[in-house]
Formats: sequence, C-alpha cells, structure tokens
Amino acid sequence: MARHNARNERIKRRYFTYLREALGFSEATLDGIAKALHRFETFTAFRDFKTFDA
Amino acid sequence: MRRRLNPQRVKVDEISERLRVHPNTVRSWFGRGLPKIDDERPTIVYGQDLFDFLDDLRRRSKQACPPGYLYCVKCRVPRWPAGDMVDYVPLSPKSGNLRGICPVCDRMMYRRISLTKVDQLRALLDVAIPEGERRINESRQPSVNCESGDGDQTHGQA
Repeated sequence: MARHNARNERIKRRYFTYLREALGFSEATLDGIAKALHRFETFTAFRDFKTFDA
Repeated sequence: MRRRLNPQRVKVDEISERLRVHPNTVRSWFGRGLPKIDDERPTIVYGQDLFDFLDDLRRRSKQACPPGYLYCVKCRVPRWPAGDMVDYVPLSPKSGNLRGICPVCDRMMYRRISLTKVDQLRALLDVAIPEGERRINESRQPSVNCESGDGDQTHGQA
C-alpha cells in the first residue's frame, strides 16, 4: 500500500507555506491540518488530488 | 532557534538549517539511502523517512567495545591498547577515563570507566594511575566546522 503521493506532498507543502506565511498559522495548527489531510488521503488510498471530483 | 523538525516534508536547506549540518552533508545522505519523495526539484524528503534514516545511521555506526578494549576514533574500531597498558585519569571522585595508545595508528584512545570497575580491569590490563597530570589549558579549542552556526561565538563579533 502506498504511504504517500509525491505530487500531493508538493501541493500540501505549498499550501502549508501559504498558511504559515500569509495567514500566520502556528506550527501546531499546521500539524493539525496535516493530520486531517493525511486522514483524508488514507481514505482515498493516496490518490492524486487532481482526480478529486467536487 | 527552533530545533523542532516538523514531521512532514522538508527541503535540503531546511534540514541542514534545523539539524545544523552542511547542505552537502544532507545531499550525501541521499547516496547513503535517504529516500526522496520523487526526482523533481526542489528535492523534498518525507519527515518520517529522515527520522528513520538518521536513527538507522546512528545504530549502524555504533560498535560494542569488549572488556579491555578502547575505541580508536581514527581507526573507527575497538582496539586492544598497545603494551597492555592504560592510564586511569580521574574526572570525578567516582569515575574517570581510561587512556591508552592505539597499536595501529599510535593515537590516544579513551574510554569512560567507573572507579569500582578499575580493579576488575587489572586482571586484563596494566592500569596506572598517574599523579599530578593536570595542567592549566589556556586557549579554547576553536571549532573546525565553519558552518557550525552560532554567530555569537566567532572572533569577529566578540
């Protein structure tokens, strides 16, 4: 089973930079968001975010 | 400085800054088994992979010293001291350093030992306890690591 998706990791990295630098979120908040995103990714079996169908 | 490493995904310069090592050191880890998340730039490492790699690196480089052996830092192996002779240099009332000479490279080897265990060691080695060995050391040893960070410790800013 996949443990992470490289393309998703890059998107998440940019998103965290945005949250930290533009919105001023703390590291603890980012950890919480990362945890929630990871939970979502586990559910989708680490499929690419591109395939997300809103 | 924040020493905490966010266990997510980190770039080479972020790793080197937080672990206080040279960026080239981090790059050399890729050749020694640190996995990247993919081959694109900037190079990104999964945080848990980095923790696992560093733990593994530390475990691999550890070597057990059998009784009587001292670890030679130059040869990077435990060695039997030359001439079966070691000195006991007390560092505190209860413990001190064993000091011997490496039979291969002639450099000093040290090993921390409890004073109560020195007598057991006498069965294996000739342990001498030199007197009046301590002297005043006038100069600080300058660090040879040019990248070691702490700017307030350099001569220029003193």
